[in-house]
Amino acid sequence: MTPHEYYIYALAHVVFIVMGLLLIAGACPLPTQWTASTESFLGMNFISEEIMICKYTNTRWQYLPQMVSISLSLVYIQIYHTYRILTAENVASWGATALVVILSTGIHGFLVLISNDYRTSLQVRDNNERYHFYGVGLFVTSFWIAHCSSAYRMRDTRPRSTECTMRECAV
Amino acid sequence: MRRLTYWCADTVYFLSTVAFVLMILGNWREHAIAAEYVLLFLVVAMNLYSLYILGRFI
Repeated sequence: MTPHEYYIYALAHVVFIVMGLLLIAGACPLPTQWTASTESFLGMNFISEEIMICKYTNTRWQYLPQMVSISLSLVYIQIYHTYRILTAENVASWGATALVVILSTGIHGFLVLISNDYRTSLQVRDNNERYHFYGVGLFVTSFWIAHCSSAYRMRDTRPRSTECTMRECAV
Repeated sequence: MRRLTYWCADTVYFLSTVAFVLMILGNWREHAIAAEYVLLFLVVAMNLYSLYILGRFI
């Protein structure tokens, strides 16, 4: 792995965190036709509600959920990279292939999640509850499986003094 | 130690997810909001930990 790749991944994390903080901090102005009843706990709203507020606002903030999903995609590529470098093998394996499917499923879940919410009358369908929970379920489950895979792979790693990069090990 | 930390984070995430689902099903929506933010914190923390692991191979 080159340092440049690592810097891109680090930048993706920074963008994800900054955009996420803006999202949950309520940076987006309320849409004019917003009819959803707000549920809050100590001033915090459901994250999907904040996403929907941003999505339907008529300002530049409407692109915030998309920015979060783009940076999340890069973070997922980094998780895949971490898994591959922990396996220290430069060949295709079932685990790596499965992880690609799992991470893609997670992104699909997140996109379904930011596209469907059941709180607002601005949605195209009358009832989005099924779609919303489908997206949440896919996103949460795939995230957990992906990180469990990396944690499982760490059993083979050795201390820093003896570890090697994929290129060095292959030589 | 690092692997144990990773497994612990995975376990806490799993338990938080179960708690979140139970709160939604039990209609404790205000507590579900709190659980959701705990999950978000864990998502960021685990992603950063994964980046840290990758950084050891530069």
